[in-house]
Amino acid sequence: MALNFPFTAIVSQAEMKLAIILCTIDPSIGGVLIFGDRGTGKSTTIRSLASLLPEMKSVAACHYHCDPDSSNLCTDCLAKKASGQKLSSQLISVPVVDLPLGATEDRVVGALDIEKALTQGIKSFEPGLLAKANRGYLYIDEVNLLEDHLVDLLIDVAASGENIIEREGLSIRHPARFVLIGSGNPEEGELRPQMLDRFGLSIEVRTPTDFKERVSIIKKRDEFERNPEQFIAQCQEEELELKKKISKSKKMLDKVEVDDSLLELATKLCAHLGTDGLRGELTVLRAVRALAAYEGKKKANLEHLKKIAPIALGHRLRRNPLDDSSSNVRIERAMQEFFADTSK
Amino acid sequence: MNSDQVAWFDTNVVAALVAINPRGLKGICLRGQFGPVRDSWLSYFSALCPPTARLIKAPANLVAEQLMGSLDIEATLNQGSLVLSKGLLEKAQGNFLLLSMAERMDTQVLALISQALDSGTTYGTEFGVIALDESEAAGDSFSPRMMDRLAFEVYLDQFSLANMKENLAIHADDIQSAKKLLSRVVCSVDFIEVLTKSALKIGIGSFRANQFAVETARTLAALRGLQEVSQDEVVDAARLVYTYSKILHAPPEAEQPNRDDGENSKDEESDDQNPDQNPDQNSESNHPQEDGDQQPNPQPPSQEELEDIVVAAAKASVPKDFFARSKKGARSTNAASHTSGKSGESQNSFISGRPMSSRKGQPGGGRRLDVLKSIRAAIPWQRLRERHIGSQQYSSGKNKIDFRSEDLHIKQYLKRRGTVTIFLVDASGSSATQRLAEAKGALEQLLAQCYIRRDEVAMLSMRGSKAELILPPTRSLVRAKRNLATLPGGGGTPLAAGFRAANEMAIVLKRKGLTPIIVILSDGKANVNLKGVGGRSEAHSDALLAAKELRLKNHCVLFVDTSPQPEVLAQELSHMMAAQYLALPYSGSGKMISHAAIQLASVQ
Repeated sequence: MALNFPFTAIVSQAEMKLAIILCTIDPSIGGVLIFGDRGTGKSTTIRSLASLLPEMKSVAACHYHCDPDSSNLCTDCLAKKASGQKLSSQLISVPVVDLPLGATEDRVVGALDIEKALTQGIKSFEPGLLAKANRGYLYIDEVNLLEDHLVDLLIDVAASGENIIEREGLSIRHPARFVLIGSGNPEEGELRPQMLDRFGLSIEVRTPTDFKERVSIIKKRDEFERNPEQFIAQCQEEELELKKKISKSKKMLDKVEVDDSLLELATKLCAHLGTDGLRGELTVLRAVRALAAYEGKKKANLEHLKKIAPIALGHRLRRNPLDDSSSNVRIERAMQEFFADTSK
Repeated sequence: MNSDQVAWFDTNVVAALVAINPRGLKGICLRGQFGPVRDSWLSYFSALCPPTARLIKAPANLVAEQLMGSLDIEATLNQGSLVLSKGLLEKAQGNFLLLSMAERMDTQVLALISQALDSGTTYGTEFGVIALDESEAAGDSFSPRMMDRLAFEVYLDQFSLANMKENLAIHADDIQSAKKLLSRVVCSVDFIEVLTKSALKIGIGSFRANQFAVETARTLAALRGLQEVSQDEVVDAARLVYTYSKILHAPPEAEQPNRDDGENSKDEESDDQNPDQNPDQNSESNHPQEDGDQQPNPQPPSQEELEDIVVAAAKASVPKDFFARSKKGARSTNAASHTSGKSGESQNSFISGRPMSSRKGQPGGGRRLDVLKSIRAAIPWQRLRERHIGSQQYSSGKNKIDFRSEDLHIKQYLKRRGTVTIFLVDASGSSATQRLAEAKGALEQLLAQCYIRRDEVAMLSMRGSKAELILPPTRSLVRAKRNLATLPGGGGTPLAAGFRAANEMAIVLKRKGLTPIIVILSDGKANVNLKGVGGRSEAHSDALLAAKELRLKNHCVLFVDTSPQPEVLAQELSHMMAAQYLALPYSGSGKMISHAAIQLASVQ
């Protein structure tokens, strides 16, 4: 296992980090889409997630890391439970699974376990990447270059939280709840609008042009490359602090209030921006709540909304193919108009 | 020593650096044709590699299965238990993966390789990549995604046999000792700052390039037997790493760099102790020249001065003929967008096209059975089926395979149907600026259409003495807008050169399975010939010649005559290339052009 660059050591890219943290606090926000040029630290940030997340309880030796305390179990665990066995649990780190661009459907969905079939003559199922990612994160680099049929499949599974396999004489369903994180470079191809809408938040990452920032990034990276263990040890304290903060925010999430006036405002804002569907509003609501919890506030306020709106709605604006300004610019313009109107 | 010789030594140094530090530098992209130069470089590199490391060749038609390893059928059948063959990636661990014809490689495969490079330690060790890029035409180059992950690129076409007579005398033992030293080499914060700042000045966006530069400086120091990076290493590192394709935002009007040929005449052979003393390329007078007897420099340059030196050195490292060639995406990213990902509409076909992985299905109707894949699918079931009493096939014959219809796989091929509309725009003085605006309008109209139809557009401009690539084939609106905004006008009309450039581009696209459509906007009044020299009559005959070439290739061409009255010259040219002729005697006709182009496309 390669050592990952610590999350807290990542300089700048505050927006990206915040979006990822919010999704960690409330996975129902529905994932993050990160757009940006090559070499801006997208992958580094996501790969550093694993060490940041609090460990979770899982059924020992379960392919799908079922939660022993929940009712949503895979067939194996259900069978065990039904036969009166006690499910032994263990602590594991939250899975962060990389989906390579060239992954075949077999690898993603799972297929017949060839070895068992050959050596023992048993028909059994070998879980794929979707099973691995259950209760964790699925990271797709270059999501805009993914094959269409895989995209459809992922959308379907991400929405239903369940992977259904009907192939090769196998008929299996297993839970697959994961936070989808996608990254891509918009210059290499657009993403289908259906896919865009599935992501809760979207971020545009730019290369920092501030010289000091850049130097400190390169320096830290250099330190890390030379002695990863030592570097990780140095960041331990900060990492732990952030871990605690995230756990605390998770517990607080249900206590956060979002009053009606703020909700109304969010709805109006969505209408003003012309975003399609309810999904945008829901995402705004959840993300605002998560942000308030992260800041340790019991009540969400207008500032939270202003901070969330661009990242929750940016990719839901209707595209005008000839308007080339980035969605960030457009949404900021629209928000300024909107808040100028409402304050009158 | 001439500058080519120096550049050749640079390629030697790069080879040594990658041999020392594959983990930090990842690899090299070699741009150049097959030939003695490339072979010479590769053999030099092999000689440097530690005895444990080999060059492992990956064929251009590599598929993901070969890369990742798959079921070894023969062994599995013989042993009755599962035997997996080693994939190329696993074999490459600790060695170097040689990608031949990297520009033709499957995107999936490149994605898997770059992922392996990123995570580095899937199998415990690390490997380097040597990518051979043989692309010639603009916009046909190697995946930018992969390029970003390799530290160096080397242009080999600039060298002649004479340059290769001598190599730097670096030996495998030098590499070994440098390897040992590497982990102890430090690079001071000041130098990291210099490298970062100069990267910003040159217009390099990617952090990877920046990191590679720091890593290169350290590796160079290790090669030279130093414990600490000094300014010479910094300058050299910037020169070697900050090459052209790493530049994201072109600095304003890159000029032809004036290389100083008055290099110091250090005799490489007389000094085996320091084989790596690289004469530096920049002509900055305040830079201490390395001479055989190194004069300690009384006043080392300040940080700012060093930055300037680094920037100048990096700029000077662009190959001499770089600007003479068509400007490969020098306007913004060098990312020819279609080399990454799918371009246009692709259609799975069962008969012809580029091979893809097979899928389940029944053969027949022109569909061919993929025997291997079918056997592979059937094997796991053998034991299960043996028990199946109703099995017809089950006999005492030991090596019979029991097939069911669900095992059958058929071969699939990928056929691209996408169209790419190549705009060839006359941006000369005679085509007034207003015409340019129209061309842009038409292009944007088409782009809006393309957004729905998933097609691509590209743009070439003719002005001054040559044709220029303004926009490599792309579907990205963002990029098209950005590149069109900066389209300059004025100068002569090199029609012949423009036709040729469009022709070449169309041929490349056809090879990729796309359908090119050429839309020419011009008044047909050529006044610059193929040699880039002015003169109407010769220019016109050259243009006719180039038009003939276009016709021979059977491209689909639309000639839009932009002169105020329909022009005889333009009609003649249009006739010569068997194009569809469209007179455009009034303005505001972006819609008309795009409409005609779409008509053409739908005829296809």
